[in-house]
Amino acid sequence: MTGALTDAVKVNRAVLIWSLTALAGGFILPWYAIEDGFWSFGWLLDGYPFDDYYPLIVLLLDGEAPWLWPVVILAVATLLAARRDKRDPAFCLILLAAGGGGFFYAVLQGFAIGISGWEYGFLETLFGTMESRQFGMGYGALLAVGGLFFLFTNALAARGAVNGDVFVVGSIGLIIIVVAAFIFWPISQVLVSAIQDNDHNLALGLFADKLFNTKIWGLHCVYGQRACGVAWNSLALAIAVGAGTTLLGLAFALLVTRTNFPAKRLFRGLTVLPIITPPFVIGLALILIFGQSGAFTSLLEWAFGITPSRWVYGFTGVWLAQMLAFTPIAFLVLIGVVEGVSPSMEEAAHTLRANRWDTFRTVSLPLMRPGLANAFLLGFIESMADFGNPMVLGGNFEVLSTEIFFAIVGAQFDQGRAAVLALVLLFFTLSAFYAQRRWLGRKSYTTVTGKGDAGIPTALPDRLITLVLCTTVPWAVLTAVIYLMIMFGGFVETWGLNHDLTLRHYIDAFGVTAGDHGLVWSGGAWNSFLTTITIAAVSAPLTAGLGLLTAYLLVRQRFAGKDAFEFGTMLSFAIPGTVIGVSYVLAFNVPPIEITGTGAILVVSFIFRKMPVGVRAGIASMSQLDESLDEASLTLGATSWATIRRVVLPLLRPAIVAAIVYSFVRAMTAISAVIFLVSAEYDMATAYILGRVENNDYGISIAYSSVLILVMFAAILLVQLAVGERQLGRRRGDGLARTNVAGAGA
Amino acid sequence: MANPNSSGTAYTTLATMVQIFGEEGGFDYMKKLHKNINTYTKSGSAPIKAAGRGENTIGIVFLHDAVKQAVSGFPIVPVAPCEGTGYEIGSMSIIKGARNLDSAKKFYDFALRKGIQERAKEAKAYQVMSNKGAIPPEQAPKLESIKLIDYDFKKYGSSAERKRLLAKWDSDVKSLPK
Repeated sequence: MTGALTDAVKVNRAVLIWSLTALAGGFILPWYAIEDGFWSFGWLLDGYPFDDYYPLIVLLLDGEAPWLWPVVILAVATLLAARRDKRDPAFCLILLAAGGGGFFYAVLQGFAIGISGWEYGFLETLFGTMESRQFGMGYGALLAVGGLFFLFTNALAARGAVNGDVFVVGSIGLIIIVVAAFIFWPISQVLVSAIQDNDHNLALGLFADKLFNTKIWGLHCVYGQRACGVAWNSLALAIAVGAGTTLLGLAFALLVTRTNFPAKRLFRGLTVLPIITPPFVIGLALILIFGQSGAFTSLLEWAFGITPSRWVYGFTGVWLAQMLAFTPIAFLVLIGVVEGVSPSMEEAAHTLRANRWDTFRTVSLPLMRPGLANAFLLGFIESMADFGNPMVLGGNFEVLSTEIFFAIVGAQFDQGRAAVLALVLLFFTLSAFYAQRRWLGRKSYTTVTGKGDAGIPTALPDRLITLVLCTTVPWAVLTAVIYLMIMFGGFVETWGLNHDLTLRHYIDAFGVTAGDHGLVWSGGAWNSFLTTITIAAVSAPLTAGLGLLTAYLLVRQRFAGKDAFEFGTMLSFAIPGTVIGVSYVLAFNVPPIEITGTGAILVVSFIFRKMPVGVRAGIASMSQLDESLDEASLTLGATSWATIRRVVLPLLRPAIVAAIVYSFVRAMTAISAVIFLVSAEYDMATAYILGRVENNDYGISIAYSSVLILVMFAAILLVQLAVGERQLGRRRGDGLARTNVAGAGA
Repeated sequence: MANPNSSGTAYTTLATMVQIFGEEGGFDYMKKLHKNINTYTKSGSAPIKAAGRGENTIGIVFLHDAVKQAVSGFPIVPVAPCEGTGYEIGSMSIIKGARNLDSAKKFYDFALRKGIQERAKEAKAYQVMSNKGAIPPEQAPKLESIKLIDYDFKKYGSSAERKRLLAKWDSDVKSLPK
């Protein structure tokens, strides 16, 4: 840009960039999706205009897809706004009409015209038969729609939405759009069948029958012999797991941050282990230890003559497995919060003659409320949505998540029933969500402020230390035993049957042989392993970014419909992965977003399944940061983006680590949604392992899991190094040094 | 035995009993069997896996699932009932209006080829082959030594009949005390 030009009329850079983006989408890049997948670039070799994949303008000039002319024309029209001042009414008008109009038109045509012409009967009667058809949208469409959309949000900001903050309005818009496209749209595909019969007619009577069914709400276990309804089973389990993981997570967080317990680093590593283990491996290990022929059961029978029982199948077994699996989540949420509690406040309590117990009870603990509430909520929801553990250990104990799955894929083929059950599950998770908000109320939990905090964290009361040690040590031992058993399983011929030592499984999975043309990756696991790493690495930062951005908007900005916004972003978490998996296949197998069978669908499913964890961790940490820090930055003339980058993000490092680590490891260990979404080309580690388990190849599954565990440990350390530690500017006490986030971990 | 509501394997068991003993007799049998079932598992093959690890004594499953356990070395002996037994045929489908119809047809032919079906045992699949010319793995069930019933796929495969039987099983069998 030359100086003369800027002096004369200032070009609105944001508008220009988004206009050019939209135009690039219309004129340069292929409009429709590349059939070989999002990441394939073979089409580039054909040179412009890419033989099989024409850009939109070339298509239009060829006389194809004439209904897309308005998109191109409106994209060009947006340029008219680039040289206008944003206080000029014409600026808003042009962008609202061209940007907003173009965006909504492009989206509507995408849904209206599909593989076989018109998607909806009434359009056919209105406009006559459609001869041509269209497939999934590609890069061009993505850029055009994105560019037009941000021009639209620019116009909204210029009209004064959220104090005219372009960045905030754009972010809110972005999140609404992606949540609508990747959560509401697919979920609605499944849920709408709740009020339909099998021929897609509206059937409200049937809906009531399905909803008020004794199989869901029955209370027979209280007064009779029969089992209780699945709804009560799930609710009881989720409350027990939520409470259990929160307490245990708190115990571990206190142990790591507030005591001088020597092996605490080791403990910290142990708590992370279950999160990086495919769930059925824990279930299987529990059966081998506590099952009817399990090691511990046999020991008890031999030593004390206790008759083996089937207690591990049912509520207790599932509870135990879920506690093992989800305590780390509570721990990750709580550790940032426990660290953030201001020592000055504790010192103030001491000065006022409170003893250590009273200080903990009346000052530290209440300040941890956001963490406790969020940890409980996560445990509750994870338990509700968990599929692997009830599947392996449930026995006759039925829960909603498994019932939903089998209503769809089982012998019943009853999508309506699945949808009703999913609604019940959703009702529970949303109630928990509201209960949590009521409990937190409108109190302030700010402890990290701009003022220097010279306090030294106080030691915990002795009673509490005893309690913490009494819970964490046995738990750590149990975890260690389970993992030793699992590791052992990788080195024997057949786990639980033939315990001859062998390295066969590792060679089968990760063998590398010297072939004619250099090394050959002959192991069966390499393909899925590399795919898994790539997809996890791509989705983790995106998940964390989107989650923290959402958290920032929720905590720091005020805008209309904020509650609905929060609800929308938490929705995907409340739905079992299996439902998400099925709904993704239904929604994304057809245009306009045609990504079933690609790597993109895996990335997208991970982002939206795990984003709520980033949101919760972000909210918990951010509610501790004093808003005056942001205000100071804004007063000094920084934009809201600069404030996030320079002030908020550095203070959020524990939350960032938690979000990235969690989404990375869950992308590597998730199974429930993935099992529907993998394809021959994009196979994931867990799906591969499950396939091997089905075939009784426990050795290779465990060998594979062990390697994954090592990789994830390395990744966790790497993330912590890359993000760095939060500098809270607090003095370190002699006796009780604060543990840094980056310092521990392994 | 698995729960027929979730497992096609267990539904086949239920439908077989109804076909052999008539609806009343079949359900009487299932009611008596109910007392001996410690868990109605979700997955069809889970009962025999549990049996392999000593968590159960007997698993009622498709024969090839039992064969797989035996081949892996677990102490399992596959047995077919002498009164006769039902069966199912695995299938493939091409979606109407498929974009790559020719490739789909090619895959169909590929999957039905003799040489390809004979490689199933490499994936530890011990079913009887659908291509008559293919030589099944030696461990696969021998159909000539098993008494097969004339399974009515049309009736018992229909969604209405299945829903009715499953609902009846739920109310008459599953809810009984042990």
